[in-house]
Amino acid sequence: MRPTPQDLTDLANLMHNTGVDKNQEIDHSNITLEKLDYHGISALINQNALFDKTLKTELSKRKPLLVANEVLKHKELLSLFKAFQTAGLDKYVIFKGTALAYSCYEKPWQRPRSDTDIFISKEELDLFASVFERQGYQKLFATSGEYISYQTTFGKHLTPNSTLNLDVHWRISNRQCLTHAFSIDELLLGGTTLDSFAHTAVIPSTINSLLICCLHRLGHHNNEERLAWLYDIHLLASGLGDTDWATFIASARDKKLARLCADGLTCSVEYFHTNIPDDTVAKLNASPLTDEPSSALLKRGLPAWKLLLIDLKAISTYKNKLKFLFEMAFPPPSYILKKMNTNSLLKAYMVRAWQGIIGLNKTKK
Amino acid sequence: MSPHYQISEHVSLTEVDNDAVLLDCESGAYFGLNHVGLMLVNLLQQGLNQEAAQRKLAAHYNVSEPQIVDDINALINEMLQRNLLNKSDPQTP
Repeated sequence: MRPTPQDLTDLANLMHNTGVDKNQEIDHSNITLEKLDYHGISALINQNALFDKTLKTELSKRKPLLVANEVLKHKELLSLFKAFQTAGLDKYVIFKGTALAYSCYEKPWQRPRSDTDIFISKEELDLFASVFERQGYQKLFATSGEYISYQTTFGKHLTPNSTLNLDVHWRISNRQCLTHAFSIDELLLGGTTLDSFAHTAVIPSTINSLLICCLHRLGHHNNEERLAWLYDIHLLASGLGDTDWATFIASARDKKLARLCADGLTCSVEYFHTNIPDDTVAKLNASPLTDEPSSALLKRGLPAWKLLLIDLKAISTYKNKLKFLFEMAFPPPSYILKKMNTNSLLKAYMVRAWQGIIGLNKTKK
Repeated sequence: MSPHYQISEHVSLTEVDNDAVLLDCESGAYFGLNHVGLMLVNLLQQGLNQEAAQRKLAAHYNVSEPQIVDDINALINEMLQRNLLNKSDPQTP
């Protein structure tokens, strides 16, 4: 269930450096560890503003674990980027959580994430996969196809309690109306490198990162509202200057993401009082709704069948639409047999079809 | 003679605000240090022996040495047990 606006306001008011008046009335009975974890903001809470001593102690106890985990993963990523370099692979971009953690946040461990996202060129997937294998990564079990998924995951146990998962993408989103929003070349061109990664890996420019965050929030998590994603938007938006805003608006329109961006920024302003030029949202919302297929995602809590229709609408030809539907109904045998835990392909596909029909009216997370 | 110590080769020390985390990068085991523990480890890393480090800590926090000896012994022993700290040669900084 999506959090209520009051929940979001109360939690946002407890966070550091948000420009929000901490003396505002906060319903502290509403603040629980589960909520802080759901929103990914446990490490961003201003503990002095917390009333609950147990919660304060719990948060303090976690800090060493978060820091230790970050150090391990950072060390591993540095070694991985070096391995890319040795293999002559330099066409990749680190984006979303890890990129933001090291470029926008005071301390990287303050930005929780379950994986590290890497954008590559599809043509180089096998080359990257060889490096992952040599570095001790294993490809994780997932479906595949030409239209159904544009990503694959590799994982490695760093210690018995710490795993690094790499989400390798060759398109920016699996949502068909967003899938062509960015190319690897475009992200590399405007991108930058970081001291913390020894200037090896490229991360997107602040403008592109902000566009990606707005796209990701509604495109990938249509029925969720996590403060961590809004806080990313807040931090990125706070880093833009006057000329950047003009570029951002033009780019959002050009990519037909203006409405999604307007929504992300509106929420960021509402909960974190993000300082953006007055007319930004109006300019973004001036884009006609009909021009932007992705604006269908502005409606939250869409059931699976509506998302499916949005995807189908965005696919160019009938042949490709059919291909997409086929891939959805009939995932690769190796995948479906394992997923359904059976040796009978017929049974696996029948169960899949039944679950699919039942799930059509459900709201996806 | 008072012993010298240094953090083990496979251990990383990360300072966080006034605290720190010692991480054994091989096993993933970690150990949180408060500001006193951090100062102790930093003094040991600078090449001071345990006694000299104790003296500095006592002076810094304006307490008598006997007041902190037990705590420091306990902390050093714990770090030794966890393989986070090694006894070192006095010449090695």
